[in-house]
Amino acid sequence: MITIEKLNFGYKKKKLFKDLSLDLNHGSIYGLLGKNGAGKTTFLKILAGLIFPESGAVSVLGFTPAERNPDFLKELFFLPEEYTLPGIKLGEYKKIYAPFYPDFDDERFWELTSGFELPEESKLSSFSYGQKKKFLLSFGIASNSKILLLDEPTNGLDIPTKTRFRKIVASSQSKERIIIISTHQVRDVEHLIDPVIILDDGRVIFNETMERVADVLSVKKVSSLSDEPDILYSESEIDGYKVVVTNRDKDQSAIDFETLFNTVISNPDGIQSAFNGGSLNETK
Amino acid sequence: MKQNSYLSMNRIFLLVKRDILSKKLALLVVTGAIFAGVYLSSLINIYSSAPSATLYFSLFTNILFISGFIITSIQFKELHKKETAQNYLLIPASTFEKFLSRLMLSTIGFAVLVLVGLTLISFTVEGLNSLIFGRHSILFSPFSKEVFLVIAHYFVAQSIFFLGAIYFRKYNFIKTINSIFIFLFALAILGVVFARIVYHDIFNGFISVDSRNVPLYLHSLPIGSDKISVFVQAVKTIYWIIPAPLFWTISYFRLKETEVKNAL
Repeated sequence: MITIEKLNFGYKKKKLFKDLSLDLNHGSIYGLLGKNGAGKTTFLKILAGLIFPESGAVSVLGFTPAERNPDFLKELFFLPEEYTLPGIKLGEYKKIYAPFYPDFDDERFWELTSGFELPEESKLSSFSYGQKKKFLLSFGIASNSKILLLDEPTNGLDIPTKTRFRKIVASSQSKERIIIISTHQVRDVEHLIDPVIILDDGRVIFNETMERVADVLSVKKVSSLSDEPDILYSESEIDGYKVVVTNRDKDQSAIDFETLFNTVISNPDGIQSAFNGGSLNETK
Repeated sequence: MKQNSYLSMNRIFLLVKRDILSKKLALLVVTGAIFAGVYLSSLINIYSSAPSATLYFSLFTNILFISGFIITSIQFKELHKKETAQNYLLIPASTFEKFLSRLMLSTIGFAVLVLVGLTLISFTVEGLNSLIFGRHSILFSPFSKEVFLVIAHYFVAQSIFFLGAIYFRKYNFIKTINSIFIFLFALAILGVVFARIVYHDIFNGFISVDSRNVPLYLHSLPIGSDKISVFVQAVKTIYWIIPAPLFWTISYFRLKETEVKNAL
């Protein structure tokens, strides 16, 4: 369980989070979306205890992350976007770091690293960016930590690996685990993340399950924008327009993440009205 | 068995093991270089016109201080780079354990390593010298009082470099040395200014003293007098008790407050 109440944080020149509140529960793969500079990475770092909030309360599994308690750290694995690995082999890395994680699953680690075709005899520092990411992902999943924070995990991965990544993350989910994937490459995490959280302008402007999204929003194709009243978002296409409207007919039309993201970012007030009749589900 | 959240010997052991295993190549290279240096020094010594009886004691002091300060200065190198800092800070161990493991490695660990290493090297080198050249230097004696006094001095001085290691982001060793010189220079200036103000009558230049003006009561305080002895003893006590715990404590809090901000 992750609870954030009235979080405030900013850098010298920019205020990032203003009274941000959010609850995240076990058993879900949360997608953390936002424009560049929205604060996705900073948000994950605050959850990991790498950055301290200016004010507000952050609780992860009952711990205050900034205290960096070992009982908290053994239940958390953070896959950052940028990293450096030491000049040792992957087996040596496992030998050094795995004992810090009491629930580390050796078998799962070898299964994942061999599945990703990572060379056992090469030094980690000589791995390509994508290989390093695969290695850290394998280690993180095998650590059996209850909190898995993945920052732009599909960056630098080739197309077959992205598919494999989705399968591995989905199969690693359990009732006890919270996985948070921060990304701006929304197509890569399609059908994987649920619920979706969108950060913008220092606040959570969207936090909904995909089931509820399908209940509330509908995607249609129209030849003219005047054909459809109350359009929340529109995109011109070759043969007309793709529009997002309130799902009055309760038909289940699939809305892709990119369209959902664009709708929420371009029309947050309209989305707020559509979901909550004027009170956006910002916090809970 | 549930481990203590703040201090677990098992986690400290794992941290020390991590540091040694991930730097084993560098350790081997340094050990090889030291062995070569000692061997060369010994050869020069046995063929010099006046061989030194304290060759190994001098080598011990130099290796301990110079290598120790350099090694201490890079203890927190990974904290000053975003990519490596986040990895280190997220290792499941408390801040105190991380602090203690690095402190132990650069104080007791390093002193014992140099002590044992130099003893073994001295036996090897002098054994070889006896076999090949039929002469040898006096062996290193690791259990003398002087050796332990040198180690104690090293611990005090090391604490400054330990703080420098965590405080400065780059060129920690050089910046720490510079800071020490600036501090000592400022202290000397302060001393001169203080003397110029309090004893302005006895000066006949900026810092030159006219001995005819020195009052009698200052003449009656020769080195070894009770008052001077008390002063010297007080300075010694302060030296042994205050700097090391103070600098180590500041280093601990600095580590505890380390963040990995995007806008580093």
